[in-house]
Amino acid sequence: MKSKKQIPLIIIAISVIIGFMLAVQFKSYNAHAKTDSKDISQIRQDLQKEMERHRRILTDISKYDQLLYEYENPLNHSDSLKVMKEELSRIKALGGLAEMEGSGLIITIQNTPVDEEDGGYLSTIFDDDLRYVVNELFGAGAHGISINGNRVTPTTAIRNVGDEIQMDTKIIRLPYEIKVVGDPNVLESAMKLRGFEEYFAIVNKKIIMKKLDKIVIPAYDGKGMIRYMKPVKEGS
Amino acid sequence: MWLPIIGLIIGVFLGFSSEITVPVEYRSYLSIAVLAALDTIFGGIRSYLENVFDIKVFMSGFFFNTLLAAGLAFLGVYMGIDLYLAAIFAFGVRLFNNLAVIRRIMIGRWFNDDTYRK
Repeated sequence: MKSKKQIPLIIIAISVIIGFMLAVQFKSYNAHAKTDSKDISQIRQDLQKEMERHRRILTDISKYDQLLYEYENPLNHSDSLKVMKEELSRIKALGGLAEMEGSGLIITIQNTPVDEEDGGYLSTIFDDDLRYVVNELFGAGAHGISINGNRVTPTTAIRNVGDEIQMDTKIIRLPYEIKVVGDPNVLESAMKLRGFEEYFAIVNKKIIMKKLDKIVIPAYDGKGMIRYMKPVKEGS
Repeated sequence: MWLPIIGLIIGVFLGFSSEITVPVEYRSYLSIAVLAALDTIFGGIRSYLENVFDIKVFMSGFFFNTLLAAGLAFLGVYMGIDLYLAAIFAFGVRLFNNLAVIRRIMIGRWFNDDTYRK
């Protein structure tokens, strides 16, 4: 027989359990009902609202970016010179006129050993393929790319001339070593997602990807990249 | 008399402040268990007012009724019969019976009139 003192405790414990069950039931039912009872127009309205919010946040971001820019570019003369120099070197690196260093990916495209009769037409890589790879890499957030030591700049041409592929005017041959500076994981998954491995496997090429913490890609070594272009004078 | 109500309030508070939710497929079981538990607690109050309250009966009733109700619902799902209706019906009727008895007893006590008791 239980002692008299325990009885209130037991009653309280049981009613606490009941109350808990009740509240949980109530809550989970309500949570479900809320998502169910929305029809498409309400969802659309919500979407509209969220998009509005998104736009507002974006304008906020650009506002703060502007502010940050002003902070980073003080009107003080000696400082502003330094800032300008830094900006210039950053732009040079991005534009391919300076060496770039950082974490990234080395992609090697090489021939897989293959029987002679399988070779020929099917086993060549065209400029299209390389352009596609480069494009995807830039799309995946690459900051700089070089192929066999030739930096890819905004005006670099990759094209077939005869049976060879030329970058600008330099011939590049297999194996292609593509060095990419960027987030190695993102770059690698972008390559895998696009199915380049399978794609190149069809033409008997193998892609080897190596993630590195430090990659140096050279500067663009060509001259006269910009010949027919001049900055516009303000007010002219 | 007030203990169950205090306990209920504490329990509801705990339930709302916790982040637990029940998956959709188990919700019918929980609802029927809640019904059984409610029935038990009203039965407990009634027996307390009638001075026949026994903690052993109360406790066993709570667990047994709750599990039986959930079990019936579970069985019903597998048999293709809405067996949980039986539980809802039984507990619903008992709930109202218990409430009616509690009401009569309370009214009798309030007016000091014994004719309200059965």
